[in-house]
Parts: sequence; structure tokens; C-alpha cells
Amino acid sequence: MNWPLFALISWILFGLELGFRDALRLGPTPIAPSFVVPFLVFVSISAPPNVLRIAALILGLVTDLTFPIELRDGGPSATIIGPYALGYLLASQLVLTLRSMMIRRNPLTVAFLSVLAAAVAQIVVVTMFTTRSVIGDPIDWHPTHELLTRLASALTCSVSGLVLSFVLLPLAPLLGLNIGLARRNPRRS
Amino acid sequence: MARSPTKFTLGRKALPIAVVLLLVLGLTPVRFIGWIGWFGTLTSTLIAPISQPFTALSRWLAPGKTATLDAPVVNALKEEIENWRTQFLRQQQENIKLQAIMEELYRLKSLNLDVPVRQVTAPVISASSDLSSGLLRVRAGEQHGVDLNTVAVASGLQLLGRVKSTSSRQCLVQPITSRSAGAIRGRVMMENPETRLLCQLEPVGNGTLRGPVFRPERSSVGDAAGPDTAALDAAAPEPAVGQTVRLDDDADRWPRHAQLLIIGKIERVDPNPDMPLRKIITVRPLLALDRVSEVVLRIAEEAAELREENSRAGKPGGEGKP
Repeated sequence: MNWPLFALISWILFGLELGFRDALRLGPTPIAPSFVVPFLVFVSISAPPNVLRIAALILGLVTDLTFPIELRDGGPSATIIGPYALGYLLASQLVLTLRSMMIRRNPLTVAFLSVLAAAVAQIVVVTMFTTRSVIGDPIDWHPTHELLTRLASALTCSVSGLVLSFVLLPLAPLLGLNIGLARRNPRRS
Repeated sequence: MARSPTKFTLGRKALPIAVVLLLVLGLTPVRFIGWIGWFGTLTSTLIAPISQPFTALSRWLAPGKTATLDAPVVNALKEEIENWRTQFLRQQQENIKLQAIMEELYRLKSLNLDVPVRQVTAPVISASSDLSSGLLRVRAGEQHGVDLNTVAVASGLQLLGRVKSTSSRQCLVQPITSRSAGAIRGRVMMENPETRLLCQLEPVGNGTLRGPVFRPERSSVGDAAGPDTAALDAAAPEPAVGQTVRLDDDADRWPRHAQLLIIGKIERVDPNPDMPLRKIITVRPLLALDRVSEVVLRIAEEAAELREENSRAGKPGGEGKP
């Protein structure tokens, strides 16, 4: 894995996630496609298991750190590490399990797996925040509403996944990832 | 066999340790993990150079204005009218208040009601990575005099919200329409300025605020409805769609210089199923508050001076109450 290039792409995609994502939301709802999940999926379908776990943890940690949580009744905000890091880790494991059954270089693969990965990650996030609210943390949390809107957001990841796959798939060799694009015959060389 | 230095992998034990650590941190109560906020600010600072252009592009593509767009000159004039109207109303309110409490405060020589305010205009650099959080990250922080609970307004004296977290160069602003922002008390501006009608508004989560209206003779919306109060409600003027609602909350919750800033306009008036003599209004701000590209932070000069004195003395202090 080419980590400097990974960092550069992550930086740009987090810029989009923080700056541009809310322009794509459906009306006043928080339903909007993610830019980071398709990248996580792209890394997960092509990187070695150990590498993709590190990548998932990094992407999850950055997502957690850029998610300031509003506390109930106008209290000061808080930042929590864990929900997205664990969610992305589990999502990457899911992709790792499924990738042998997928055509890796097909953009539809990234789109389809982005939906599944985002859904798994959001279920973990909702579980952790629901646990927090049950044990008495002053967060304004409505589990059913959150789960439904987040699963709807996961569905919209198919669009961002499809669009981003056309950018990310050609970058695979530069990132040092194998998506089965160029398979040389050793006998010829 | 020696591992290549370019290969960066997780060891067999590292992954379970990381998962357990993340689980523990993910479930630790908020009051014990305040230190993580520093890393959050650092991360946002690193991402800000790329997120700010995307934010500007996003605001340009989908601007926050809900009203029809006028020419810049018309907008400027409208803003000026609102400014003068707010000042007039504030003075009027202060006069009424002064007349009522004149005797009580007679002994105090320095009332200092005319609070000077310094305004800091700052761009919104990013939203949250998770859209369930309505907080806006703004490029102005303690270096600019911003403190917890500093009031933020958008263009046209539209009340935006309050600062919920600050670092040296950035702060997080919570819009009043954010679900966690809590209740806010407003005043419905009737045609007759003598008539006062208050409302207790709660954010709904779709960019509006909703709540019952009541006469100021009641101390709050939750007062028991006796025969006298019922008569008061029956005699109360009716709120109407299109009327402006301005902030009229306790000075403990919102500073004096924020009073009578615009909360929004009444979008709907519904009957209250529990109390038929009262109405429930839905108020929509003049702008989509989560889509603003620039905010104006209003910092009371006295708080800034107090903060400077405290910083010289090495004590914490400032305008807001965390």
C-alpha cells in the first residue's frame, strides 16, 4: 500500500465529506451519500487483510474525530472515539469476506459493497450511541429514527460508490493495490 | 525474518487490543473523555484547507437563503432596516423594563444597559462528518475573543445560535434549529407594539421551531391554567402566519445584546390539542441555518475585557457559562 497516496486521497475525500456532503442531503433530512465509505470499500476489495484493517481504523478514527456530538439541552459539544472506527473495521471485514465472490474491477461492485459496508458501519454506530444513551450519557439520541435515516444514507452510498469507483479504480496500481487489472503471464516474460 | 520497514501491518495482538480500547473509549461517559476534543480540533484543522473550498462550493450550489433572492443593494437595505428596527425595539423594551424597575434599581448608579458589542465575521469551514450533528465549524476562536456561548448571527440579524466549543482558531456553533439546542423563548411581533405575545419554541429537527404561544402575564408556558389565566388566554391576540418572532429570553440564558434578534417568521398556526385557547406556532428562520457560509459572532466588550484581565491574572473566565 502506498500510504502517502492513501493519505492524500483520504484528505480530499474527508474534505468532500465535511464540506460538500450536506449539499447532497435529501431535503431537511440527514440522508446523504458518504464519500469515505466507497474509498474504504475500494481499499477493502483489493488490499491484504492486515493493511485494510489499518486503513479502516484510520478512516474510522478520522470520521469519529470530525464528528462533534451535540449534548442535550444545549450543553457543550463532545467528541467520541470508537463508533465509526469499529463500524468501519467491521464493514471492512464484511467486504473482505465477500470480495472473493465479486468482480473487483467492476464499478458496480464498489457501488453494491458500499451500501452493505455503510449499513454495517451505521448499525455499529447506532448500537454504540444507543448503549451510551441507555447508560445515561446526555446525548439527544432517537435510535429508531437514527437507524432508519442512516440505512437510507447507506442506500445513497451506491451513487457515490459508483461515481468514485471510476476515479479510484484507475488509481489502484498507484496505491499498490491489486484489483486484477494487469495480470502478466510469467512464461512470456 | 526481518519485516520490511515499508510494510505497515497490525500484529496478531494489536488488533484485539485496538478493538477493546475503542470499545472502552466508545462507551466511556462523555465527562471523562473531554480531552479527545483536542484531537478532533487538530484533525479538523488539518482537513480545513480542503474542506473550506468544498464548503464554499456547496453553499454556492445550494445557498442557505429560503426567501427570494433580491439584488445586493436591496438585501443591504433590508438588512439595514432590520438593524434599525431591532435597535428601536430593543430600546422600546429597555424603556418599558426601566419604567417598571426604576424604583427598585434607583440606588444603582451605573446600569450599563447599552452593552457594546464587537462583531467578528468568520466563514464556516465545515460541517460534521456525520450529518446527525448540526454543529458548524467556524474559523474564529479564542484568539478572536470567541468564548463558550458567544452568540452567532447570520445576515439580516437572523439569530443563528451559540458557540458550544472553542479552540484557539476555531469554534463550533450550534444552530437554534438543531434538535439538541433546547427550548428558546420568543416574542411574536404584533402590529400593535403594546401587545405582547410570547412563545416557547422547541427545535423540531427539520429546520423549524415549534411551540405554544402565551401571554406575558404568565411567568411561563407551564403555569397552571386557572380561571384567570384562561380568561387571559381567551383575550390574547391570535398569532398569524408571516409574523416575525424575535428572541425574548432570560438574560441568564441569552445575553442582553442578543435580545430581539430575529428567530424567524411564523409558518403555521395550529390549535393546541391540550389547551384549546392557546395556539401552537411553527417558526421557520429567514435562512436555512445549517447552510450559512458565513457567521457573525457577537462578543460583548465587557466580556472581552474581563477575559483579558483574567488571562493576565492567569484565571479562566469570559462571557459564557459552559
